[in-house]
Amino acid sequence: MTAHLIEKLSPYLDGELPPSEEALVSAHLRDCPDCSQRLAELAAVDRLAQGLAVEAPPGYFEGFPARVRERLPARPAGVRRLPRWALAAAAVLLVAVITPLSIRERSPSPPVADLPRAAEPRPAPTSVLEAKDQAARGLGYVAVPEGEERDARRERRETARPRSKPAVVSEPAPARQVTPPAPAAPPPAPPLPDAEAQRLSAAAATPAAAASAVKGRGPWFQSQSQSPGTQAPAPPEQTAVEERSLEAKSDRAPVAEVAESEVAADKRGSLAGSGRAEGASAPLINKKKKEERAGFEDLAARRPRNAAEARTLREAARRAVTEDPSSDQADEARVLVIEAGVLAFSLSRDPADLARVEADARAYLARADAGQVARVRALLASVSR
Amino acid sequence: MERPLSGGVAAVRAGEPGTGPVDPVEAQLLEKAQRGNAFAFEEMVRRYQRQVYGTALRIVRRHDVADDLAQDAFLKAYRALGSFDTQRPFGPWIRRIVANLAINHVRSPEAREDGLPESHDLTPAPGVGPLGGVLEREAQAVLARALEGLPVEQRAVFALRVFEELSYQEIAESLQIPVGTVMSRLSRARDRVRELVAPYLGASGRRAGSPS
Repeated sequence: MTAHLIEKLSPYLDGELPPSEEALVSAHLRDCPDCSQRLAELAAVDRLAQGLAVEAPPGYFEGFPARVRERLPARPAGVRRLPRWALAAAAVLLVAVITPLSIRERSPSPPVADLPRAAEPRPAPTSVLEAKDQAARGLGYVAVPEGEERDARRERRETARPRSKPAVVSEPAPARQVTPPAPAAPPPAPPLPDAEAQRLSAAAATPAAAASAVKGRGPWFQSQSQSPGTQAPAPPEQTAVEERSLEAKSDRAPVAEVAESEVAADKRGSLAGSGRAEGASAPLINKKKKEERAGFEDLAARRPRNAAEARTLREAARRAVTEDPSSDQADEARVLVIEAGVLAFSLSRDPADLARVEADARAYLARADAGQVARVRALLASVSR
Repeated sequence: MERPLSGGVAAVRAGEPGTGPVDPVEAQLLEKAQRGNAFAFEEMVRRYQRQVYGTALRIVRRHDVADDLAQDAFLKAYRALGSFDTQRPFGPWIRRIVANLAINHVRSPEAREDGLPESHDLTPAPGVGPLGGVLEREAQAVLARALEGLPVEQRAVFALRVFEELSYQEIAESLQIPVGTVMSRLSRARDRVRELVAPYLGASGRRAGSPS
């Protein structure tokens, strides 16, 4: 067999040859015992390699999970709630950027080169993708044949591809097995349509509106909790800012579980808030649910580093259950009591902690509404070993 | 980090959990972890640590490096968990993450400066394999040394194909090399290992007339 054909034995073994070449190799193998033997040896090497064990130092795997847990950030990205200061900072930035634009826009005869973007005539789309982008910004619907779109997309990818070979392997976007993860950071807000930008910039000039934007969600919640009938209707500019800040909140603050319908209900509530009374009650309930959930998540995101902190967490979770046993989060909180208890025991080896875990776990398993029986059984087994 | 490499063995074989349909308990753990519950994620770490560590070790061959990479892989997975579909199997995803980290490591200049460890961490598994008994253990010892002797690029391709069972296309994407290069590196790696191991292969895998 030629060297060329010998090289094909490895991909033949993996089923990675195109059909025509595979047929050639198959035909050759029928007549060549040496190559058949060689192929059998290659297969034997694979099997042998797959039987190799991986050694780790004694006790290595016992401590590994806890070491990882201690390094975990508070929340996975994508479900992280931005802290309020970040929302406030975003609002300040928005105001800082838009205010000068709007002032410039109003100033008489600006130099041509300095024309603010908002006042520029928008150039006609030069590509199909650009047309789509513009359509997405609310400029109107542009029908684009799918094939053209694909071509344009490919073209853009190709032009965007770096010429030099990257030094490292790309992020492990799961290709086949899993849904590709969405970008960790929230997508940047699309450029505002001109009219919207103008409304916002006008709103930013109002001190009260600017202050309300800085406070983030505060004013919106206030407007929901007060009776709309007794409240002076908000000026239209202010409403615009509030809607925008609400959108920012609902885009960036979602906890994985916050149902879209809930967010939608909030939005409806916000729109109705300035004029109608019937919109107010649903958002109030949603608000309470959200606060409960947020409170629980703050609890679950704690990272106790010693037995005392684990006990504190255990008792805090227990209090959360006692205070609101019918909450959506009560099941989670009950399991958290046990999880934190297991950690407390594993760090202290104190029989009192163990007894507490066992009692909590038994009480949980006896509940008719227990939603995580398998999990709690496993936790119980882990301390009973 | 220094740990003794001799002494007792925590022998594991990669590929146990995470390959079949999604375990509902795991899906629930991941959902809890997505909401920030570290205990739930810790349980996932416990379930997959051997696979993940094993994948790293097979590529980088150093315990201390494999340990770092395994931790980093779980942290990376946790950070990206918000967008992970919990109805998908976690195993292939986390193994892919650690394999990429390991490949990045072996391609980095610092890895080239690392010496090879004195003792190798891939050793014959206890129990009976395809060849059975003493002969297999000998063959595996030779194989482990042969794998260590491979150039890093060939070993990475070999590990991704034989241990991780990725397709050529997937390996090409992971390593950012053409599929043809995957094919030729793998072929060379296998031939080299085969030459060294063939004398120890049993009757089924031994070339007629080779020394016994």
